[in-house]
Amino acid sequence: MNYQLTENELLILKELIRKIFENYNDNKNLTKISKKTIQKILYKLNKKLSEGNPIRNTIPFYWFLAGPYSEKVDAGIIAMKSEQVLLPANGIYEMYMFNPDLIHSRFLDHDASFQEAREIISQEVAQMRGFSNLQLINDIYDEAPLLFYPTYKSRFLVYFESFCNYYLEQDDNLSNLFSENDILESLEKTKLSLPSDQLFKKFNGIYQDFVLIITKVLNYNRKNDSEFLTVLQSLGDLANKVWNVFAYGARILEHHEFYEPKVLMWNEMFTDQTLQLEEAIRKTSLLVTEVLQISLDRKQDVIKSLEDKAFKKKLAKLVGFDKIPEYDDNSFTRLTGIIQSRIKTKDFDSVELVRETREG
Amino acid sequence: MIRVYLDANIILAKSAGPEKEPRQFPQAEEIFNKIKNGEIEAVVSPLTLMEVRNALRINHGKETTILAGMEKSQRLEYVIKTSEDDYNAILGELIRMGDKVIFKVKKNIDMNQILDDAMEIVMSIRGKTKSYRDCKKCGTDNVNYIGFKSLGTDDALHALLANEMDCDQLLTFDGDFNEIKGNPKIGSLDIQVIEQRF
Repeated sequence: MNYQLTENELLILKELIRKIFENYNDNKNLTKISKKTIQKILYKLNKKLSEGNPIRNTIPFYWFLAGPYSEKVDAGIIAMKSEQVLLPANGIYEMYMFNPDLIHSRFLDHDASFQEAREIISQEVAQMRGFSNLQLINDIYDEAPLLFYPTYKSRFLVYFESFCNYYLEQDDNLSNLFSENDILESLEKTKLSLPSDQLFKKFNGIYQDFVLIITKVLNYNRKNDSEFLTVLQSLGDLANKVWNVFAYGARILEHHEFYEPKVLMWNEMFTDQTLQLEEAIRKTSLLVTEVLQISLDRKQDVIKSLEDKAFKKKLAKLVGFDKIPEYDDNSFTRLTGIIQSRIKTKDFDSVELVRETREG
Repeated sequence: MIRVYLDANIILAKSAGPEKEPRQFPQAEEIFNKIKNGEIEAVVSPLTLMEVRNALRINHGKETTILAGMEKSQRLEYVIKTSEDDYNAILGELIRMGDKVIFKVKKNIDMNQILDDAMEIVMSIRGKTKSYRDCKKCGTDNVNYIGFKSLGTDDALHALLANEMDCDQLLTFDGDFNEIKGNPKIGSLDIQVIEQRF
């Protein structure tokens, strides 16, 4: 985000982040920390600082796609990177190292408010000993102001993505950790944790359609059909889309007053995203019905073909074949006039002959 | 691709060839070309096969000159043997047409329902009386007589069976089927009575 920090705000952020790295290095011998982890530790700090501590205003958060997020913290990390206070490091996520020449020098004096912050950071980092980044996220999600965060993002989406990967990657070594029942149960819980705020009225309505689609697909019993895999691919994308739209609404409900001027714009974005999601769900619902029906029809055709084969075998034996003869294109030509030379009657009339058969 | 139920007269017309069946052969040939090219999928029901078989017996039973020269005890054997050879030859070629010709679509067909529906159809059609000037059965000309004509019970069974076998269309040369067209009991089955060429 393109927020312009004041000089003092940047100094506070530099010092807070330096303290995080210092504690991390002391406690865990880790020199690399992801941007998301920095955001989350500072969120925990914000939650624990006493009400009047001015540092709280330097790290205002709102709840968004990956949980609590601060535009000021993000702007601080970008500024520190350009000043080479933070150095990019290799890693799956956006990882940083603190400049070793600067890690032991304070960017500002520690007054009473900073002393409080320093102690909280030390405690938080110490408590995280042995914790993975994922556990930190789950920890924060479990205390989220909206219950949909843990039920959907930490549980249902994790279960469902694992399920999708299992079938889409067709990797025998990849074990399917979650059964359909696990996923459906977690999906039911997400329904119970939808926000009751009027803002989410439309979202909650279309979410029911999403639940129906997932339920229909998970209950489908031929999961190795190519049709099923096509549907699963689309559903994985849709499940992420649902999460994105929810997050667009979540920040309207759960934000620091610092972001109040943005709420009107956020509302418009949420409304727009919700309408797009409604259309995406409608299209996916049609796709699911159509594609899975094709698969069912194909299955029916196989049954028909087997029935026909069994009957043909019986007929073939009556005619004198050992087995059903191979398809022969020339049979169409041979059938033409096949009994012609054996017809001795003067007026052969197919229609009348059949009528006579019917009349007895 | 549409699924088409073939009436016995179409199979017989194709098998008889253009010389013996000049009126119906061209259309029958056209239908089998469509089957060959995969434009339509043909269904030949066991009922149709039974009719082909019996029609061939009736035809050989009309070979009066040949039959008259035989011992009485040999006549039936002759009719059965010649018609059986014809039938086997026809059926053998139909089987060689592979998946283009289907004989059985479902494991279980609800015959009770078909018979109930057939009874309702037959009961609902009044039929008509008609004057005839020759006898198509014995071939005698100028024998004025009046007869009753209506939809045959087998016609109703064919239409219902075609519907039950998920066919889109029933193809026949027999105009009697016109009476059953659009009957609600046959669902969306489209009955096509093919015009004879001459």
